Amino acid sequence: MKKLPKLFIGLSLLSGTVFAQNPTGSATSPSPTSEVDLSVTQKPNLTAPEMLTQARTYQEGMGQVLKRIQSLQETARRQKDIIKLNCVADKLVQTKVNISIADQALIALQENVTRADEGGRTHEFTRLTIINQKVTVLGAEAENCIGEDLSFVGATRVDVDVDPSIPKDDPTQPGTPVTSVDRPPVDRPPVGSPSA
Amino acid sequence: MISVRAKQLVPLLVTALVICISPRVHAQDSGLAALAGNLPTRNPGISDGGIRIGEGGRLHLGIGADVGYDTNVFYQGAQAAISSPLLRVVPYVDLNNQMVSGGPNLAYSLGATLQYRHYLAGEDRITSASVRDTISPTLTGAVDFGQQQRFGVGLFETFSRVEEAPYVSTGGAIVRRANLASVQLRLTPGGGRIQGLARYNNRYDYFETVAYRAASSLSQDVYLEVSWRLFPKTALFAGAQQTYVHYLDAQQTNAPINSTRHDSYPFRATTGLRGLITEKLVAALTVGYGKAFYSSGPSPSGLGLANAKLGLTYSPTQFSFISLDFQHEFQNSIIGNYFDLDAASLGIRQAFADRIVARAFVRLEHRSYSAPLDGVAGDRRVDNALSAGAEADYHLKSWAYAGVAYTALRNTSNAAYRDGLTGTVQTADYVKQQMFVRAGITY
Repeated sequence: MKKLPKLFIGLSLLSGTVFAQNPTGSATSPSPTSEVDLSVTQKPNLTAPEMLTQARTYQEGMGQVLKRIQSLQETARRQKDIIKLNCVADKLVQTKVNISIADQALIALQENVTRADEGGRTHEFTRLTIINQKVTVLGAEAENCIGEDLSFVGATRVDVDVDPSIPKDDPTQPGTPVTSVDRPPVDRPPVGSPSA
Repeated sequence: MISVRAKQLVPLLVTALVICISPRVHAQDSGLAALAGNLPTRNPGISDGGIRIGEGGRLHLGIGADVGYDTNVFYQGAQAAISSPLLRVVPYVDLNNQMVSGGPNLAYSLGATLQYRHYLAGEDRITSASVRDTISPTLTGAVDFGQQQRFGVGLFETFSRVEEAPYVSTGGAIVRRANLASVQLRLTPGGGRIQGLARYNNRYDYFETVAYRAASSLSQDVYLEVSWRLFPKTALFAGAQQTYVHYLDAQQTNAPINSTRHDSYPFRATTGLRGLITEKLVAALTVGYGKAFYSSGPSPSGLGLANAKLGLTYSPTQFSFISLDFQHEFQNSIIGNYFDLDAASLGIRQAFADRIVARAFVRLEHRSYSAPLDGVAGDRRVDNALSAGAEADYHLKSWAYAGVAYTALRNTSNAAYRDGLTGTVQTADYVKQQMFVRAGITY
């Protein structure tokens, strides 16, 4: 009899834990429709043409990043800084590889669109999105290689608009020396003089 | 279409501006020479044209011609004035590198201009062949090292030979040769707000005409200046100039009576402001004190010792230009030792309809000579000259123009001359008008 209350308490605690769990397990797994903050924008609702358009946009963007990294490599080469050059070269190689993969993914995406394979095109589009993100990160890392951080928005440029009416020369300077070769004043010598 | 027209217009306007400024600047010193008038020659320092020679260098060529009428060839009084049609031809060549953006470290400008003038009146009206046909060349050169650096050196050279009609109808041309050579050192320490400048000028002035040969001179002067740049294009300055004027004909052979030349050592100390007052107003204000130190004869005194120049340039629009100048100082003179000069001038330039550039000017000049000439009433000879002119050019192309010009000069004086042979008395009063139709090409 003394053990009965202890058993009741123990069963009560155990049953509470069991009932707290969802029998289907669905409560603990994220719902497909729930809002999740993803850094990679997935657009499962995109139509096939929209996917292709977006994929080409990604491809163009990656091409621009590649050009930028190549220019950074040239900059490092001009600076004759081997550390920067190696760093940028590493990013460049990775970028090229990723772009190559992206090209294959784009071809596969086009094929899947042609075949109307919705799963396949979604898969390829996701690959492209991830690769685009990778290339973007590589671009930023390449900027860091030569000391320009992620917030780099381009070299400082100063645009000066000068009123066209302002003299372009320097009016503070004394003028160029000039000699006056004007006529002598009126002097009418008598007739028969040497000038006559 | 608009952009193309605008592109063509800019060099035209800039050229016209420079053309208009140049005579004005020279007129400050030459006074009566403002009447001489010049055919437009494109200032190659700024224009787009020219043949590219080397890095930044451009060779500019051009020739202009005008046909006109001169109402008073020999600057005579109204009763004796002799008029004549005339033809002028002015070729020029210029080589410079002023087009280099930001200003070249070594800037150079070399130029040559030749003016041929032919009076079309016959020998019965203009007897001397040297007056009927005149050739007046001008050579200029300027080299400036280190324009953008702390230390700069400038070399300047100008040579002119001028043939002008005399003041008597029976005389030969007044022929004058002048040469100016200058060396300039410029030091701009620190941030460039303070600048020191030293300049040496050597002037050689020689009259081939015997009657004026006594006035031939060699002068040398040293000018020192310190300037402080208040703003990027505005500066205060203080300077001092010491000149030595030596007359080459020590015996003063052929010198007019009462007009023997004497060496002098004029000194001037000046201060003032140069530069922008507003975006559209440029001022050049100079005030100072001077003393002539003639070796003999009268010297300036009282207010004549003061010198002042005020130049204002206002550009209300990109196509308009107005200049106003006042001047008071003493200057070395062929008549007497010196003359006190007071002058005021007004110039206006306006561009119309993309291609027409018009200009007008008026100048009033008062000269009070230190000594009378033969038969002058009073103690001092006084001349008042009023000159005015207007011109307009239509630029058919960026390299071709056609236009008209008119200038007039009226001189009144208390001077009078008695002819030893005829006994007649002549004055120094005259009115002279010139009008031209002109055309030219400037590349």
